Amino acid sequence: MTAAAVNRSLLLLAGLRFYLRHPGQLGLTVAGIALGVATVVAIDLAAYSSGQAFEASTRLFRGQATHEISRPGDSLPDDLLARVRRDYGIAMSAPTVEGRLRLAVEPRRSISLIGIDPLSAARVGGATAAFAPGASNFAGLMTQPGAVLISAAVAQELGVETGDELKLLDGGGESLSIIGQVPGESGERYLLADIATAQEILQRTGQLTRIDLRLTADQAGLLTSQLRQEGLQLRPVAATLGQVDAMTRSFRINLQALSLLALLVGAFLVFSTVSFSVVRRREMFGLFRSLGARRREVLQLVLTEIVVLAAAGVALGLLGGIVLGSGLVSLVLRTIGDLYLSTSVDYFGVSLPLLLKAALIGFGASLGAAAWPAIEAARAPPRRAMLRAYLERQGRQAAGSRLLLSVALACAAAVLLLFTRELRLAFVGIFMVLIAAAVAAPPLVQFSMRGLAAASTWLPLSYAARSVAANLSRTGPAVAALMIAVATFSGVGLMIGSFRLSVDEWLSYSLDADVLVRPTDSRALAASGEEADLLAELRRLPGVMDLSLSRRRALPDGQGIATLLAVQPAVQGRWPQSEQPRARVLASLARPDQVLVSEPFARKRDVAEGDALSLLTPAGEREFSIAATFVDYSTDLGLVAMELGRYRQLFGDQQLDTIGVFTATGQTATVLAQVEDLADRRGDLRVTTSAFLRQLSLLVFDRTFTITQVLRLIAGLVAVIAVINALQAQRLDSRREIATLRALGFSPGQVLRLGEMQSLLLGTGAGVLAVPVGILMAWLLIVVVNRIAFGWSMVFVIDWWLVSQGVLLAAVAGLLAGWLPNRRSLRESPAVALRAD
Amino acid sequence: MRRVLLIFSLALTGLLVGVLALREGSDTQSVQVRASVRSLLGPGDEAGFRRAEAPGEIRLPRDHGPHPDYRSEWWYFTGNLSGESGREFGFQLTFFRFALAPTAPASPSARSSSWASDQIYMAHFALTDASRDEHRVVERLARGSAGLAGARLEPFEVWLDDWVAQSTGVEFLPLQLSARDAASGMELVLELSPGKEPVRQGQDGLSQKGAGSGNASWYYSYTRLPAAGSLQVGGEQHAVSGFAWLDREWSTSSLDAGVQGWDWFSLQLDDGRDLMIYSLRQVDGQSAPQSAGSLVARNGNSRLLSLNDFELQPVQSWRSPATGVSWPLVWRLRLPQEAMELEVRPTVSDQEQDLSVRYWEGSVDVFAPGGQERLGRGYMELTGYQPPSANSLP
Repeated sequence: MTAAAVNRSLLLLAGLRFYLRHPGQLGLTVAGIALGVATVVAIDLAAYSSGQAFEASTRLFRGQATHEISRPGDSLPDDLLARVRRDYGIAMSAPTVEGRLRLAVEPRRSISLIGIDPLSAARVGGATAAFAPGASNFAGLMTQPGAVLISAAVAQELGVETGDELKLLDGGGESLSIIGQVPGESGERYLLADIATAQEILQRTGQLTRIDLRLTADQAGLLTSQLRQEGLQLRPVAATLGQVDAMTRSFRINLQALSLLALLVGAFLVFSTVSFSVVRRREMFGLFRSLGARRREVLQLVLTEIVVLAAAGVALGLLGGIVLGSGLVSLVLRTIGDLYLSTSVDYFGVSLPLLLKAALIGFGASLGAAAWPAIEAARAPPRRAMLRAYLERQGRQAAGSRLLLSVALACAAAVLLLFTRELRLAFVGIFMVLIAAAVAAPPLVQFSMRGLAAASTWLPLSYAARSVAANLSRTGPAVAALMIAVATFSGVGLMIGSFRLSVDEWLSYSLDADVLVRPTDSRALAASGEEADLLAELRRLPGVMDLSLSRRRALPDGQGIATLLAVQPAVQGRWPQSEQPRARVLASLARPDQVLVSEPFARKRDVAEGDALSLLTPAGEREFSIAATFVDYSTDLGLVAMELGRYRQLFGDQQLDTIGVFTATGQTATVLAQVEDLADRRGDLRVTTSAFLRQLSLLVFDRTFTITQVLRLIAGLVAVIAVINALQAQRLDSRREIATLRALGFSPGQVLRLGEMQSLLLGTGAGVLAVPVGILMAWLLIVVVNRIAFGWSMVFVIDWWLVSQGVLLAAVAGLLAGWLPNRRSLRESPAVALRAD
Repeated sequence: MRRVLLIFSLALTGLLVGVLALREGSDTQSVQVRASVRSLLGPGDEAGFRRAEAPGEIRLPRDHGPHPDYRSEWWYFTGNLSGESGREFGFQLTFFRFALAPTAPASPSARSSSWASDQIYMAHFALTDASRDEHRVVERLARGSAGLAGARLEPFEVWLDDWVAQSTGVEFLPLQLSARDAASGMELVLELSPGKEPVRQGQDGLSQKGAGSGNASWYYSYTRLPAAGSLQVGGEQHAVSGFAWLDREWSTSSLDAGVQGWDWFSLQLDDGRDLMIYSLRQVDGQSAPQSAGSLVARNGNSRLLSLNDFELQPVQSWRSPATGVSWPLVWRLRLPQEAMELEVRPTVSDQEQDLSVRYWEGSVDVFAPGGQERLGRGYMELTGYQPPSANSLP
């Protein structure tokens, strides 16, 4: 009993001493865990907070509303609420005008301004939050131009209070007066104003964003049919919430998977540090074993150590994750806003279950990663564990079975990736591929180093290569971690690069006109029948070759998630980007009852060329046949294209969103000037060039992938940590080798160069190995994940410069990381080092 | 005379807060609302509004339309109706207008949004089904812009949602009233035809409500307008006819301190005479000196009544199970000079209206004291009564 207790504390003390004597190991282990956990927490919290923001902005001021009237991508007319109440007798109805603006105090971040009619909001039970008993903001909001209430989060973040003025960034010196605060301490960021103030500040007079309603089933039925005739949509509020969820699901899963990837890389780091610490101490463990310590006790020691380290890492990771997450949430919200729909409030909140989950994952990954080395340590027979050569031999023997395991894993992954249509499983497949590569990495590096040693006629090189190969029992896990990190770095980079190229290519098809003209009030244009005159006038301008016309609206299929694009393409244009020849596609489009669908639409609805698609027209349901699919990255929610004339005939909607003007070669500038003149004269046109829009689109693209880039950089960071780890392991363990070399007469300089060559070889070896893994990963992300998640197909382009960056990263990291250990190992007297072992 | 409305206008800000809070249905909140209303009974911010000062300004038809330069205003329709089967109903459809701020000449036009408005409309729609002992009331509020609510003179119309009072021709009368509320199943469509000429209450329409100049309202009444149409209540449609009463009042004034509430009566007697009486009830239980009324003869001639001309006595109370308020619902009324002695009894006891402000407004029958023969029908309004616990509040 007593002996066992002494034993245990002795073991623990020994473990503690090891880490105290090697603070680098301690730091690396903790950092590896912390980095992984932080990434998971940050991404999870950002995704969670963005979800909360959507939920909050959907619920905010809606009270018990059951339905909403909206027009996706468009506003509602000002008089609609009065008509809904007076003509349809629907009393429980409330209007909202929403938009974002920038304040002078916070020029880089926009904030949402929500305009409500307090009396209407009360009818659907929605404004109670804003007007608690005792608050007397009501009259001020309605009667004072520019009066706003601020949310608690705004008061706190901007340090403003009632009575302060908020200057608008681009409002010509206009400012808002804070007349009060919305009660409550929730984290949403917004300004609340009377609807009239919101219309004026946002320059949306005459427009409503939506109308919330509390309806009975009968009322809903009546209203749905009435509104359809006006091209308006009545939707249940629950559907709106569900829609947000459905729209952003793939996006969120992608983010989470990428964060788990970061954790996976982190886990490799833990694996490598723990393995190293075990390998380093195998003589000590052997000694303990010969002194009577049991296997279980050794196992317990290693696991206790890792639990303590993991606790520190997880704690740091949670803290770091919260900080990183608060930064990422606005990125996530902006991206979702760019891609899907924008929220009216910003929100950041910490969810305890999410933190708990991340902590558990952190502990799980650490223990999982440490399990193998811990078992190894416990398994070593007392005597043999003290022989260092034993382990090297054992490692070499295991190489064959490692490769087998790796191949088996890879095959399983391939099967999974080939057959799954489930995003989560696709990511599981990618993880398996990475693990397979990691398992195979040490033996592969060993083989290639041996090959290099054999092939090289230059003694120092073959010596260094052989030395790297011989030390792989210690450096193997770190090499695997380095390889995975570099592969992630370049794989994700390749995916983004290919995607960007594909989008750029697509933009050249979809923005095929040179100058784009948008009527500011196409309703008026359509109503007054002036459209024909405008088009004729545009055609008459010298240099104008052709025009294309288009109109976008929610797809009338009862779901309203996808978009209907009504087009009259130009003969000399390039749209649409399809596998079929353009002439044939356009000919099909011209036929009545034929439509084109975008790739994501085809993928998500599981339809193909020749299939039928039914749409709700004012005259009832109508069948269309799908003539072709085309490439479209504008939305992953799906796009259906129809010929404009046919659309107008069927839907009675005469409005136009965009007129594309095609110019003769070299005439764009002159045409642009003339169109701008025309717009100045008329006052109801907005003019822009497609070159500008293209730039803007790519900007949005880059913004979308900011988070992915952040994750990529984290992978890069892990790579550096891994290589430091590997080299420390190598250096610390080669004291005797260096001493022997010195004793044999090598100069310190020669020994240093030899060490540096080893560092370089180790880094480069892992880096080169990461090349095919990275390429494979990119290919899987593009071909499997993107197709499943978004339905996009894209070209796969290998950017060799980016790939070599990965190798370079590994090599340079190797060199730099080896700098200090290499020098430090020279300081020791050869005699002392030789005796010590 | 609807003094309850003065309170509405005085208490407006706190009140609207209260409306919103009341929707939550929390008891603590309604107590807070009542407390805030009581606390706002003092003088409100009257600066910038016009006031009713010198008599003789009422011009018709001009004054049927809105007066946005006064703080508050109402079009108050009540009446008693009979169905073909002998069923009896009472109705109330009232439109209130409140100004949140004085309308500066420049302010509304300076704003570009058509939603901008300083005016708020409130409407109460109530039906009493005497035969079934039922009463329902609904309140709605809307801003006076974007077509949600408003009033205009030519052709006359006042509306809030699909609750509308509008002239059917170029003349003010005949008028059509229509209101429906899906949730409560109430619907009313009535045509009001010309009856007796309007009566200017008080001093040629200037009705003094407190001591001092300006503490008065402009007040005229159509005491008897033949009404016919249909109503729907409890899932049944009824063709109805009877007489309506319209009170028009606008002012910028407040109650004197020490006035607790009031008891108001509009009675249409079967002999063709119409009687309006109000008593401003002081904290000491006495009627304030400004309490007054008018008696309109069959031929439309009217005689003003001052406090000395009538005696008003509550004889029986009813305690509301919902609010605990004890309302005096049976009254004895004496006009010694007219040798008139009447007893007023409610057609339905529970015509309590627990809305933005709690009051009792409902249809009544008129009898000789203790008698069983009905002499007429009318409407009664009681305000300022508190449940026993609330009375003990400071």
